[in-house]
Amino acid sequence: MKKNFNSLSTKIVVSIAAVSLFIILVIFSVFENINKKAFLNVEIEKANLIAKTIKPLIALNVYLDMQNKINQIAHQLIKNPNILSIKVLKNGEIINEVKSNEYKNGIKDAFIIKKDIYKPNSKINIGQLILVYSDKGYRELMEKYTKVMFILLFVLSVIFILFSLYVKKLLSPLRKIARLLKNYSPNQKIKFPFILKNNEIGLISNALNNMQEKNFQYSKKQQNINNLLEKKVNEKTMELRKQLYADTLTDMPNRLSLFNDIESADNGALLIINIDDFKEINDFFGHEIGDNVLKKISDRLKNMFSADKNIKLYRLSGDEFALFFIEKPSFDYFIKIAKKLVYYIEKMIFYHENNELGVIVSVGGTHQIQKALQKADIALKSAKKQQKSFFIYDEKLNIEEQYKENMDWVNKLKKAINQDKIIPYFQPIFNNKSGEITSYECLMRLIDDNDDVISPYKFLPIAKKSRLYDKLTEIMIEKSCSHFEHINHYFSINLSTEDIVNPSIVEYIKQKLKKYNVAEKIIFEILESEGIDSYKNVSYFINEMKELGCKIAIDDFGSGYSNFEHLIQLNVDYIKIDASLIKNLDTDSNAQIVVQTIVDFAKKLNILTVAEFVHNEEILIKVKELNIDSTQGFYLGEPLKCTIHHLD
Amino acid sequence: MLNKLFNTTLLFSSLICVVLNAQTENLLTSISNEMEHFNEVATTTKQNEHYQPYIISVFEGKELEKLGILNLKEALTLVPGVDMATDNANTQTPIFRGSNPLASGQSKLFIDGILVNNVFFDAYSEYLSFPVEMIKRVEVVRGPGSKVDGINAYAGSINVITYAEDFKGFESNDKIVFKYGSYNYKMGGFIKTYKTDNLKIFIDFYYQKDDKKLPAGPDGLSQGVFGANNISLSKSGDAPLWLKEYSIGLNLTYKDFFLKARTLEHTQGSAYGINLALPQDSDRMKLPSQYLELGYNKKINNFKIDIKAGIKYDAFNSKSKLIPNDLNISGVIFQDGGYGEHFAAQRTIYQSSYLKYSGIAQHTITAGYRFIKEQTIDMSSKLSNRLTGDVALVDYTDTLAFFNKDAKRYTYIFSLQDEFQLSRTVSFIYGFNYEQTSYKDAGFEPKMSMVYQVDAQNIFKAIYSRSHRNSSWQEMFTMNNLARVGTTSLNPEKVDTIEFAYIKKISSDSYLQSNIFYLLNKDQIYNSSADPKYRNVVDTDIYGFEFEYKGYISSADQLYFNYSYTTGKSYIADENKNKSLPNIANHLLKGYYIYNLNTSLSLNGVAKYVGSKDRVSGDTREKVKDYLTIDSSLQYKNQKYNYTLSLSIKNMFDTKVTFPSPPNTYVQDYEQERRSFYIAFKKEF
Amino acid sequence: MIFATLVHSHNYDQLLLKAQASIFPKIVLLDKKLNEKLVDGKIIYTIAYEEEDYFTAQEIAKYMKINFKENFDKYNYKVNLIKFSNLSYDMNTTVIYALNSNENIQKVANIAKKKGIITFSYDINNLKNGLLFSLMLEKTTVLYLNKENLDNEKIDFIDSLLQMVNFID
Repeated sequence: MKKNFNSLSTKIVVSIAAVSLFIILVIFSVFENINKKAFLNVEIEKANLIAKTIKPLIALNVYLDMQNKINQIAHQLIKNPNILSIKVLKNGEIINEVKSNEYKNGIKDAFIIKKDIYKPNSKINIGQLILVYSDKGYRELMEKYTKVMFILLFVLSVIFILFSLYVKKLLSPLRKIARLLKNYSPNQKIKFPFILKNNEIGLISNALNNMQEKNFQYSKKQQNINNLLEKKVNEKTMELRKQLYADTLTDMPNRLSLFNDIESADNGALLIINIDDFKEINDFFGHEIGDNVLKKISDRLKNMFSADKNIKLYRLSGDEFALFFIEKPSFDYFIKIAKKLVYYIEKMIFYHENNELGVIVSVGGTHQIQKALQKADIALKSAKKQQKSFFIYDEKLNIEEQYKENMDWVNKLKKAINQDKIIPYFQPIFNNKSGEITSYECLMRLIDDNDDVISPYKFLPIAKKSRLYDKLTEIMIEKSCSHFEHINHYFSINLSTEDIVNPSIVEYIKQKLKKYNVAEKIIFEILESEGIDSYKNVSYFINEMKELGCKIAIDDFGSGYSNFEHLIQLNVDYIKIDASLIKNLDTDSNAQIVVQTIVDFAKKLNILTVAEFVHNEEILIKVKELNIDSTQGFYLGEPLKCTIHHLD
Repeated sequence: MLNKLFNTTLLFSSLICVVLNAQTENLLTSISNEMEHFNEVATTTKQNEHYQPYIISVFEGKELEKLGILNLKEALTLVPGVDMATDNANTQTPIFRGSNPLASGQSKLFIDGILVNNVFFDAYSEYLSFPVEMIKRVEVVRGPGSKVDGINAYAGSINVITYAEDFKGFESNDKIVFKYGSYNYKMGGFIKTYKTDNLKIFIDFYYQKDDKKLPAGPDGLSQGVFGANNISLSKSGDAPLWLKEYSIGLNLTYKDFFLKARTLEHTQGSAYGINLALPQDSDRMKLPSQYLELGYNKKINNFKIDIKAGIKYDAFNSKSKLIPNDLNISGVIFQDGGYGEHFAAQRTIYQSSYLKYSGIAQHTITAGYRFIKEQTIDMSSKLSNRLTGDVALVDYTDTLAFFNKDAKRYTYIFSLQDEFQLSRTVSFIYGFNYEQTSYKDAGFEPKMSMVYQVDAQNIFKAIYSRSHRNSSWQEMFTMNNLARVGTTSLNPEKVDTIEFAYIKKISSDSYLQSNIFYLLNKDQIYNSSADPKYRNVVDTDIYGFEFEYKGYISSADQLYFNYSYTTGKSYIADENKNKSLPNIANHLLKGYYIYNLNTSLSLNGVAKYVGSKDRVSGDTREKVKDYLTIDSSLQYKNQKYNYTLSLSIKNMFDTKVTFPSPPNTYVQDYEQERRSFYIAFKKEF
Repeated sequence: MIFATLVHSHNYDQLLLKAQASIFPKIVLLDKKLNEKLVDGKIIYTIAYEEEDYFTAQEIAKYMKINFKENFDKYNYKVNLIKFSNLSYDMNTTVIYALNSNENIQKVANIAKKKGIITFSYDINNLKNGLLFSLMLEKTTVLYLNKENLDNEKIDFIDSLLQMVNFID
């Protein structure tokens, strides 16, 4: 504020002065010009007026030839000090001329007015009147005028000075108020002057005073509120911070907390515990039970490691827990802990409505702190893949091994394709009522150099990556169709979504169906779990095939996010209930409930159901009990190189 | 400062002038006021018409009385270029310079500034009998006339000024008058004025009647107006042309306000019959006319306000035998003939405001408007039974109206005029009218005129103007009539007029005037027995000249005569050929001579020659014959008792005077009065 | 209408007669040498007429009496009706107003010129014969003056009047 104080009063005065000065200057200069002209015109006008006034009289007398009268008028006229000379002409001849003494002595500044003289009341020209008129009057007038203008200017300047002083004085109370306000604080009251003044300043002072009073009250109130708020904010901050880094269900630190801990650690080690198929617990028993299980596991973990200060526990996600070793333990101890974990958790039994429930866990770990979470994750996945209960991340070994294995498999596949070692095996499917074979599922097999029969789950993922997959599908289609060309049995072929969305495969299928005339016998088994993304394509494929007379089955139904709605729309003929539901059907009451639901549903839609993976009698009984239409499994018939029919 | 300068200048200039004392100045002012006053009177009374930018003929009532002129109609026959025409109803119409004698409404009649043309015919035949003793002055403007009043005269306008006119410093006399004459003509009337400083009341009254009958026929039946089978019923005989009328006029002035009112009850014989069958003696036609106008005139500085509002009623009321006994129309036989009563009453409401501004040097600007609403307010139509031929009247008002009872027309006129006095010798008047009506509009119509007064003796005038005639009620709203089919889709008749005049003022009381004129008439409304529907199908070019002289041979006499030559051609669109002007006399010569035997006795003569007239195209009859009539009168004025006695003989030589009848109507033209005698007594107070 | 009956003799424009009778007497008063022309302190306003115009002359006198009462402004006046034939050089008059006459106008002019009498004429044409003033009702009212006849030492009208008139050469 101090650096450049711009006084309002100065501004007002200066601007008024500037505008006034400008206006005065403009007026002055315009007046100067206009008035000069106007004054001159006035003089000319005067002369003209005189000429005009006497003209009729002169005209009359010229017309009437009254010389003496003209002379009389002229002499009267010359008495006017401004008139220097009068000349009257009749028909071009001077009949009268009078000059003033001044004019005789030779005077310069004058103007001449010439007027034609007409016969009275007509337009007939009878002569001329010439008047020489002094511009003395004009000059005098100009002098007077200039003087007046200067006086005016001076008076105006004085008025402005007085005016500016007055404005300054008028505005000085504002300055005083401003000075007082500079030190204003809401807690402290100022005594404003001029409150009693009955003008704008008084109004401002009063208003400020009122404002100050209200501010004071308000600030007091505000202080109390602030204190309360501060307290509340602190509480809430604590809570939020806790929420940010802790899991609410188990009260354990969360993934973010783990990140921070790993980030800030120099060494250490990490174990991740994942509950296998925990999702199913949630799905079948509900989230409440799931949460209960998780809580119990967390309690167990807390109990196990409460004594060990080096170990910190976390819940990473729904079914994942982590153990972080703040100080890197010995590798042996590390392994020992991992094993202990698996043992103790799998030993746990949970109860739900008189049912005992157990969990299987997988554990992944890393003994290195760098990228510990990532590495432990990889290790966990490896453990699951290799169906081990735990796996410790070993960078080098893992990658090289996998690479080698992949390469081996690609070579093996190429070789097998070239040597026609890819062949279909046929597993029969039986009608549960009649006990007769209703159809065969064609299953891909690779016969290796040792004549071992290798199941596709070992090479299919690699095949998919190496672009040999299409070829494998084609081989299966060709061979299956040609096999059943003359066999009057339904047969099914597995198709992945990749196959269905591949137009060349679809075209290939159509060719073969036509070639071997098997459209009426073929059943396409489509993996239910894969169908969601390319639902449109699948639906299109199904309709196309059904038009040709083919049948459609949904494979592994109940393994993924089974969606009944999709099922209705896909208009399928069979549902093959997933092995995971069948394999413990005799004992697992949950599985029974699920299967019962699926069967009831299928019955309502006139869809036939098939139970896969029936591997013993108990299960078969249960399957029949549950009214499943057909059965497939080792218990009734393994996949074979040829159809039973053939055997017969 | 400047004021002071001028004051000194003025002071100075007055010093060098001859010193005018207050008394002299008063005298000068008084002289110029007098001069202005007399100029105003002269302008209003058209005394100085020769110097004004219009061509006008003025006849003083007193002058006309001396000549034995009976009424307005006779006065009009003295006007250069004016002839008279009539029709089967004897609605007589002055024909100005050969403009369409078949259509009425070509000219307008004003009584003390009030337009009195009836709405039905747009004619004023009921006013033609206005006695000359009631007339102070007749002013006849040939051509469209002034644009200021907002009324578009087409061929001419007639201003009748009664003795209600008054000027400061002029006395007014009361008088009574009686007249008696041929055809059992009887007339009585008086005028009376009551005057105070602010109030003036003027009343005139007259009553007159005659039992005039003139030979006519054979009537229209002979021409097959009711079919060939009825020709034998045609009659000849005396046409009832009798008159019976009275009128009261009231003129009231209070300060700047005035009221003018008149009622005229005019009844006349049915003449030649509306259906061209000679009617009975008692059959009659009434053409009543009533008007009332309120006005306000005020002069404020340079402004002159003139506001008027008025109402006028007129009617057509006919009661007559329309068809003769035993007439057979399509098998219906009217054993006792057929009668008819036709009645149509019209009301006109108008309002006008004009403002005259003379604040600009050399200019007098006049602007204003006139609003007119004309409307038929009552109509009835009764005829003998058309189906049975029974003579008893049947009301056909709703079933077979002779006229559209909802006839109505609005007219809005705006006019602007500037009178520009360029110099003492040259002046102009220019301006325009803009007119809109509820039917087809005339729109914008300019007028320009110039007067060049070379000196006190020689004056030149040039006038151009455009004007129109809106179609008349009859042309627009006539219904169920075999001879006339009205239509509202008619365009106004248009006329462009160019005139030049030269006036030689020989002395204060004698002059010579000659005019040449050229009239371009467009879209004239025409119908014929072949095509009774009115249509805009005739274009007529008319041109000619007029010559007037007024002066004296000796100090004891006065001579006036005028000669006019009118010719031109008509072009009828249908017939696609040019025709000479029908029913128009090419030559008209009128004059009068007053010889003062002594200060109280004068012998006067009026002579009128009307040349022969061509017939309408297709009319094979001989030309209408020319005729010359000479009237004479003797007037005695008793100075002492202030009475006047006049004797007059009209058509001294008993010349046969006929007005043309249209083809296929009466075979013979309509005969007018033969020799007749009149005596008049007038006493002034 | 007081002039209504006058039409029997010469044809006089009634309005013009009135205008002249109203205006001419006032013009007389604008002569600067009027006092020299008074007869017994009175303005004598002579109307000269031919026999047949006697009524006209009478009516003018009557009109003037109504219009001016006893005085022209501050001067007493007397209207004198005299036949043209009775005019002589011996007569004393301030003004002669001449009605129409076929032969006697020149006579009026001669007498007036000699005696310095102001003359007015009903008919403008008479100015050519030596009369001084006339008046016409043209588009405006115009006062005419014969320039030649102004050249008389005994007559001196004020300039303002002369500026109003129309001169006839």
